[in-house]
Amino acid sequence: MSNKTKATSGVLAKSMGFSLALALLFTLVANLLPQVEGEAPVEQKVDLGALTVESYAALGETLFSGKGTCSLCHNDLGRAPDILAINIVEVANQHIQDERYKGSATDAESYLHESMVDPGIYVVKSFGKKGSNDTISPMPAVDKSPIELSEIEINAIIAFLQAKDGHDVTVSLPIEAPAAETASPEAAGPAGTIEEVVAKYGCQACHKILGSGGELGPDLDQMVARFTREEIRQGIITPNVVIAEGFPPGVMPQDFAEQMMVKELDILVDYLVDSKKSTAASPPDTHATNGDDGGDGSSAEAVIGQFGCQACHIIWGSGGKIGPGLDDVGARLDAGQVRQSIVDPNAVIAKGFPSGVMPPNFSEQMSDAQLDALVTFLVERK
Amino acid sequence: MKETRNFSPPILLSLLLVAVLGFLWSGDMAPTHWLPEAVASEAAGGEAAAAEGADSVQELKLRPAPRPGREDYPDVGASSRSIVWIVAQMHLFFGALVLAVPIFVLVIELLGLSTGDARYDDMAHEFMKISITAYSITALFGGTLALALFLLYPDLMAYLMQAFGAQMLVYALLFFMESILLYIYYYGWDALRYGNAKWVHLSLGLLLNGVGATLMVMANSWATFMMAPSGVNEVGAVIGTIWEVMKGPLWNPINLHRFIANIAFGGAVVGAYAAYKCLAARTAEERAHYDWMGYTSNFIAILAFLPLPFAGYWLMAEIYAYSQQMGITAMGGILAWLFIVQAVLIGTILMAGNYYLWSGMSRTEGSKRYQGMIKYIAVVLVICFLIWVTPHTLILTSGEIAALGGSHHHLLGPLGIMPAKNIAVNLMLIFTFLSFQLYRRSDKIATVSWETAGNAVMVAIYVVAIVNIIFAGIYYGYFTNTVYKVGSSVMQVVSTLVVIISGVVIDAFMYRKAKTLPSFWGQVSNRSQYALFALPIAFTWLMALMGYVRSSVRTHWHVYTVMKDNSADNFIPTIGYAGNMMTIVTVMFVLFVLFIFWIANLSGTKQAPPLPVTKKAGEAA
Repeated sequence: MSNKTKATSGVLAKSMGFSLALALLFTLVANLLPQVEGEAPVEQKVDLGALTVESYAALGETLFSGKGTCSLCHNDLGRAPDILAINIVEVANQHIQDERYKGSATDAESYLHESMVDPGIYVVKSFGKKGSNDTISPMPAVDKSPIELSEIEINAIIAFLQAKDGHDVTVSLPIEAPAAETASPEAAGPAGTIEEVVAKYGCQACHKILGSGGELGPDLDQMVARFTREEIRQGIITPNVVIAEGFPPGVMPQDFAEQMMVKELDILVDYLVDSKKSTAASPPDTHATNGDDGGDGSSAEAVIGQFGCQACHIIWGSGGKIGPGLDDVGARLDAGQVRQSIVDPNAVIAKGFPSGVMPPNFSEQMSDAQLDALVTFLVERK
Repeated sequence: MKETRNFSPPILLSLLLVAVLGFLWSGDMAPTHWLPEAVASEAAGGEAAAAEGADSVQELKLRPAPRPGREDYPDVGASSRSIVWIVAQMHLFFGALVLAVPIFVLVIELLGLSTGDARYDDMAHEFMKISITAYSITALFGGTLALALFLLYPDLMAYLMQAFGAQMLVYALLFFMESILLYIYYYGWDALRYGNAKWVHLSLGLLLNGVGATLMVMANSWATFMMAPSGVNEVGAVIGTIWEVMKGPLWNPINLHRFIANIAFGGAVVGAYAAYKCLAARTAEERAHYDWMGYTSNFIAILAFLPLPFAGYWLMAEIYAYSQQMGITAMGGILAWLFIVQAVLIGTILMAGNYYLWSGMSRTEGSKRYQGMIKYIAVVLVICFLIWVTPHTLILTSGEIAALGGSHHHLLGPLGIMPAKNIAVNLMLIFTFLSFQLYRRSDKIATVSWETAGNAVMVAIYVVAIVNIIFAGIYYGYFTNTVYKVGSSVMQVVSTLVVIISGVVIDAFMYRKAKTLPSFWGQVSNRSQYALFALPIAFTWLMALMGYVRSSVRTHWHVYTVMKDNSADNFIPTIGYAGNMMTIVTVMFVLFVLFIFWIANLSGTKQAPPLPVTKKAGEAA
């Protein structure tokens, strides 16, 4: 080996050794620091039937520092009000009385719920987004991405916040829909005909289909004539991608892809594709869908399934959020009010919800027996 | 002609990339679970029907982001994330190098043209020699990365293809163009060296940098889209134009940050090359040349590094504005501890940079005037460094917590929070600039009449800035609420910038017609050259660290809020694991860089011709 090569090799070895030693020093620093893994949130299976107030509040505490990521900001570092250090129920009641408060909450429970799903309604002083003069909250809505808490989880956190300072837990425990009686689409068997599919998913609550139905969404007997099979499928599965002119966005549930069986979707798409070829033809037999068919259609569960109430309302802990949750409706309304809300839904609008959304023609579609069964069922939901 | 071996990998890979992207973009690449189960079953059969009324309802073709389940991620028997992590990081290191080097090479070439000093031109050409080999490696890692991503994360890539569409094809074509320009720029150096031809060469360099910068911002848009998607609706369906998809809230902050960081990184790497050559030099002339080259590289690296924290401030401010939750995850959540490692790395960079400047003062006699100040600068740097690496909380046993009276030590608690760190960082930057300024003044004696007044103003600016930084940090940091605390950092940053800008301006005028003292290039300790190795190691590790933080703030999302990561690797690993990965990629990078240095050396080595065979005296008879 020549002297030059030796010298070069020596420099190479020294520089490599120096570089390696320095890199290892940095590695050492990284390994001396606290070693914590950040797990992705895991969907917890909660046995709703076994829930107690205490375990529900405990679930809320887990969610507060886990999936809800509340403790990321609500801590003692001054990023957001330190909820764990204050009596949040009392503070909530004070905020409701504040002249800056523009929300619709009437008590601590509804205030806490509102502050989680719509944090911008009331921004605590000096905690607003920079430059917004406390008019915009930096907090994300917890029921949306990236947090995506369910209604049950939001209520669990409210239960925790109420319980931590010794207040009564006012949120209702989520109740598991009885397996035998439920009309939940997921629990029911696959529908075999177009009438069963339409009834099972409550399409007529919003759309005119099979010759009858609501006007909240486009008339499917007419509108589909413009679409291909593939586009119809996408319109059902991702309804908010394109909104038909004159109709409000965000109303149609987005989870039909998860709820529907492949076969059911095929039946529905087949029908809609066929209907475009024969829209001028006589409407299909509506007998099976007009609510007068008797039989098992008069139980509350069957009515809820047939008319698709869960498309907009939470019942048995699941459903849409377009209308108010109905699991505790009996505590708010009496039988007369419940009945009025069904037959004339625009007479009184629940605070925080838009008017004109619920179809006004349920009284025409439901039989008296069905309406009575539904009212009786809802009044008992306290 | 032997160097033409570098041609093939990038150009072939460019062509391959164009072909693959073109094929994939043409459709039919979405896996069946791209669509919900119900739709997937009809995906094939529905095509003919879809063609019927496509014109009237074009919008309905919009698709939401895919929702892959765990089973949809290919299992190759090793952590997919780790594979992509290593390959992506290597591609990024080399990509940063090959994008950055032509930037300062062009400036140096221009400097050579304006001064008429051929040394600049030769040095710029030598810098490009490193870049040209690095370019081949960049392309090889880029191709491997694309392959790994399409293989291991097919749904994510399908979605990104949907979001960016033809932009990816444009990227591949630009990559092709970059290859051609780079080779013409490098191999045409001597052919286009004088007269008007030089301007043609400079124009090619400008074009090369333009294409390079465009490539960078296009690739950046993929990363920023994943962090803060734009041009899509809440389910991830693309509803905007390609421009709206690219121009997310974090795009420009990342563009600026990467642009500056690449230059600092590139300067540091070629500085290591110069140090290596300087240490291995066999003649005084060779040592002097590489000492000068190392100095220039260090100058570039530190000059680019000084404004980097301010670009970082802007990026973090935009992250907070986009999502406070994301900002806090980075700065105050699970990733917060990584900033202690960052402090160690930046502290290393600043101290190595300062040490190199102080050592370099030995090149000229004039430096004796300033050498007395070095120890004070060193003390300030060390104190500030210690404050910067002070954690806010400590891992303590319950007994220790009880003994302390709380989880925060009464001294370390206040020193561990951002106001203290902001003071420390800004003072470190100011004192590094002071070292730099003293070094620049070492071989000069000002001849202007206002020298005393000018120095007085300079000292006053230093004093006011330092007092302001300390006052703002203490008063607003400890005695006011959060809003003012954040606002005070802006005041501190402005103070630092005022010192740097006014220092450059005052010295430019004060030393315009200065008397220059002789400098002896090569008259520098060997130890100082190791500071030039420390810089790229710390820079490389720092790039790996900050890239990891940037990527991890998405937590369990591939594309934040619209596409979840349901793979087995959808968790944030421990700092130790991440640190080990960073060291692996750093060491790999160093090995490849040494290979580049060796190749660069090899190209200039000529084998001595074999000696003629002489017959022995007796054989002739």
